[in-house]
Amino acid sequence: MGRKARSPLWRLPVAEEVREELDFHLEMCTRELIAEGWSEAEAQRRAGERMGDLEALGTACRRAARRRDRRFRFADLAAEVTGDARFAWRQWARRPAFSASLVLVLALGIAANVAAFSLVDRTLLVPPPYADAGRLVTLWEAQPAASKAKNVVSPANFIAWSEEARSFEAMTGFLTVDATLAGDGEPLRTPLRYVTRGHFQILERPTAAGRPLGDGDFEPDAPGVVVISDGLWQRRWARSPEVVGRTVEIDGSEVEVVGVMPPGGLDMGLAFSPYGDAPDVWAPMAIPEAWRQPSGRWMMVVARLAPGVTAAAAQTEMDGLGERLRDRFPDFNEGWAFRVVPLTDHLAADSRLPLLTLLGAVALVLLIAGFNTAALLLARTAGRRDEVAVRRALGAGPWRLARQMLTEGALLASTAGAVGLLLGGFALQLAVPLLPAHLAPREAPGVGTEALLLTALLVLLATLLFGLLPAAYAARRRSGRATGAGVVGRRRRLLAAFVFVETAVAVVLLAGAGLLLRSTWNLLQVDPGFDRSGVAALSTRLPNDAEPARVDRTWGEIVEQVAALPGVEHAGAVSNLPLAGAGPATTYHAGDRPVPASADRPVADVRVVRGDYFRAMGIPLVEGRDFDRRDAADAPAVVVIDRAAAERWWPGESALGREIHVAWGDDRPRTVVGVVGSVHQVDLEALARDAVYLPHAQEGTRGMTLVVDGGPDAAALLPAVRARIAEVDPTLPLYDAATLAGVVGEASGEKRLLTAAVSLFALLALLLAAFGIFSISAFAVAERRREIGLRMALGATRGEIVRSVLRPAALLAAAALAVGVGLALATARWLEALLFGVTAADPWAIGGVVLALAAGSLLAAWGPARRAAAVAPVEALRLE
Amino acid sequence: MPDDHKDLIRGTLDPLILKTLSARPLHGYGIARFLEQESGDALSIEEGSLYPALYRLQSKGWIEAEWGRSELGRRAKFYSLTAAGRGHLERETERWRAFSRAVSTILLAEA
Repeated sequence: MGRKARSPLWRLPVAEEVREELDFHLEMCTRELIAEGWSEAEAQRRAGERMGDLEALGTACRRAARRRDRRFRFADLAAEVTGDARFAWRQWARRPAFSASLVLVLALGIAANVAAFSLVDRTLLVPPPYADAGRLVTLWEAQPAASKAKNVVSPANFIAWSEEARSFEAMTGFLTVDATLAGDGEPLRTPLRYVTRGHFQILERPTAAGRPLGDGDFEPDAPGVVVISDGLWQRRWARSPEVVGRTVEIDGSEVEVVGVMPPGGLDMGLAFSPYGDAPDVWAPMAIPEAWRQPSGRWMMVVARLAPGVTAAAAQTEMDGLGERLRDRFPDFNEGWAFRVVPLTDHLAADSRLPLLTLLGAVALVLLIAGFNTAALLLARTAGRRDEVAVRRALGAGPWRLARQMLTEGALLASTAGAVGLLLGGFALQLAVPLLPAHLAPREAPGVGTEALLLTALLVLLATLLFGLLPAAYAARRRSGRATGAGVVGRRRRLLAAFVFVETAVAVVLLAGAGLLLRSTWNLLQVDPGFDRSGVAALSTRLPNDAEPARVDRTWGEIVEQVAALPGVEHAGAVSNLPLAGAGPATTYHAGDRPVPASADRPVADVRVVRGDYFRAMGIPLVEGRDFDRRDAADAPAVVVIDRAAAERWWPGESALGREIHVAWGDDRPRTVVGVVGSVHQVDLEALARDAVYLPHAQEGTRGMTLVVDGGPDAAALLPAVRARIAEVDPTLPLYDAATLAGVVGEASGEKRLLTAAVSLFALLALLLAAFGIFSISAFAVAERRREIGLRMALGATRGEIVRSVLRPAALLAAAALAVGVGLALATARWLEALLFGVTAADPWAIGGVVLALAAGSLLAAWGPARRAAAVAPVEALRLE
Repeated sequence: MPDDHKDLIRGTLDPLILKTLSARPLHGYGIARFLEQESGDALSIEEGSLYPALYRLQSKGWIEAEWGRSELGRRAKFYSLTAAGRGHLERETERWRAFSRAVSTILLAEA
């Protein structure tokens, strides 16, 4: 389409254009007719006749002309936009390094946000895969005095809740234990979840094959049936559909598989139980009358709220019920309360803080990246002064210029967005396998719609920033006085403000990283109370129906045989390996001291041990003796306690020979025969509870973890250990092979990962801040070239010139440090739950930040300062 | 009013205008006169219908307009063929040739 036709120079209003054209036609026609001899009046009449209905014609023409103009306007705009885009591309392509660094800085910021946001989205925001999951709540008992917020539930209380509470449509209790599955292959240890009636119906998750457990399965004389997980189906039966209806052996009883759960099963992240993992088998648990009498607390409870009832309303009802049940079972329920926690909150409880910290860190990085690119662009508008002036002189209005700049910004921002999205998706794929289970997304990780929307929003914001900022400056400058000193000064101040904000935010990130680094360092220095090197572990278990004599004999043989292996220094076994998950704990008290009220009774971790457990683990014997052959099943009940327990009851005295009562099975008194060092049983960060060790021969625990002390290459002993156990009993499942170093490492894994991520982002922030200081210094030197030359000509020394460049950079860094450290102190409170052994005002962390930033900014300003010092006086005068 | 057989077949006005302009730029009146003379009055065109067609052809980008001076010194809008218009004219001519050959083969065949 020719530009001529659309040139505004010829354009008349449409009505005039049409009228003039038609008038011309009539006039010519009339003139010709007159020449043919017609009178003027007759000629006019005939000319009009030949044209037809003039009025209709005029209307038709005007409509056609307007349609033409609309089409032209659109074509003009399209041509302009493509022209702008092409021009923008040339602008960026002219300085490829500059453009690439802008895109990269921004893309990195966007990538980090896409990855972190996708993670948060999938972990915190996506509801669990149950119908109407918002109405699912977990129910807990709580001991406010002992600041225990979520304790497992007593069946007696569960029965009372399900019969008396009106807030819930239905309620299910369950317990996960270890079981051994036999048949169709090697014996397999499988986590088995016993569930009460209605479990599958409450969660409303359909089976992938077969049927869920139904009411009939809970009748006392019903045949044994189970539902299995997708994972077990896959591992054991390669997803064969024939598994439904098959009979398998679980801990010696024959049961029929009636259904298979889909992937993700009914785990609910409620794997928490004294025994660990997500279930592979679900079996019905009928509730006997005897459970109406309160005994222990061991059940987990999930309920579906009745329609229209909120969790808060349910909590109010449970508070009232709590008082009634305290009256009903005063001994058992004294000091206990009941809590309603929405399932989604329960699932997110452990992951919220680390994930939000991560999200906060990447958001700060993006903020820094944004200010950084804005500062770079602003510095560049200086270089485009001539171009803008020329375009203005050629008639480009401010709106036209702004549109051009916006197009440039859009091109840059959308490229960065696309690269960022790609990098982010890639980073996500890399990061997810490294995450601890509770931080990993519940579903396949990927960049979801929400992350795409986030990217689009970021790109839009970046476009506005990149487009409007230079546009505002271009518009402010009149073409005639393009080099007005006031404008330059104002721009330098704005540039300084950007770099200042960027640096201050970087300080916040650096401080956070410093605190996390110190925490991780402290965590690695923690002495867990046992020797973590050179110890390997392997678990096995006897079926639940194995009688005590067999359990005692088999474990006795295993420990003896393994201890006799060449290369094994000590071998022992324990019911729960330290730091490898939660374990059982119960109240206890000394026999020769006043018995505290039940709410004040201390809680101790209870561990059952066999063989040379303490020596294999390097746990020191403080007083007395280890268990030995004397402590047989029929011998007097004995116990070994840890130092914390001994000091609690008999400070400054010997604990040997004293008696303690442990709420563990029967309440018979047990005589203390030894005191050992305290061990971090469940938490690397704190010695949470006292510990009580019971001899295996008197307990008969079926599932134990074998611990082998075998020097630096302990893990290499494991194949021989496996072989020995198989010789003792080939039907035993072997699982959870590990080294203690690995177990301890995993206990600090989440913190190390988070620290690594935040440190990486902080490093990036430091680099960006240094880059910002570099660009502002370089910009100042370029602007002041003449002045510097003049000062040198007037006798200023190189040192003075260098100082004059470094001084503003140092001032800016110092101001940013002051504000940044203040902000960091204010926000660190938020991090406190993630810190270990440091306070928010840790002098080492803050000192490190000050040092890093001071060094970074001086290094960044050094280059431009050297360049300033190299300005030759004469050259400066020659400029312009 | 023109006789029935002198009516233009629908859609033929556009190529005729393009053909007229392919030799030289003309104003609307000139186009009307040219068509009248060249067809030897065999085709009757209601002169008014020319103008909406000219606007339509403009918006399709086949012709463009420019104000100029007529032979008598009066201001007039001159139309000229664009490159796109020339291409379109060639395609239309080819189509017409094929169409008229086919119609002729049938209509003029000896029965």
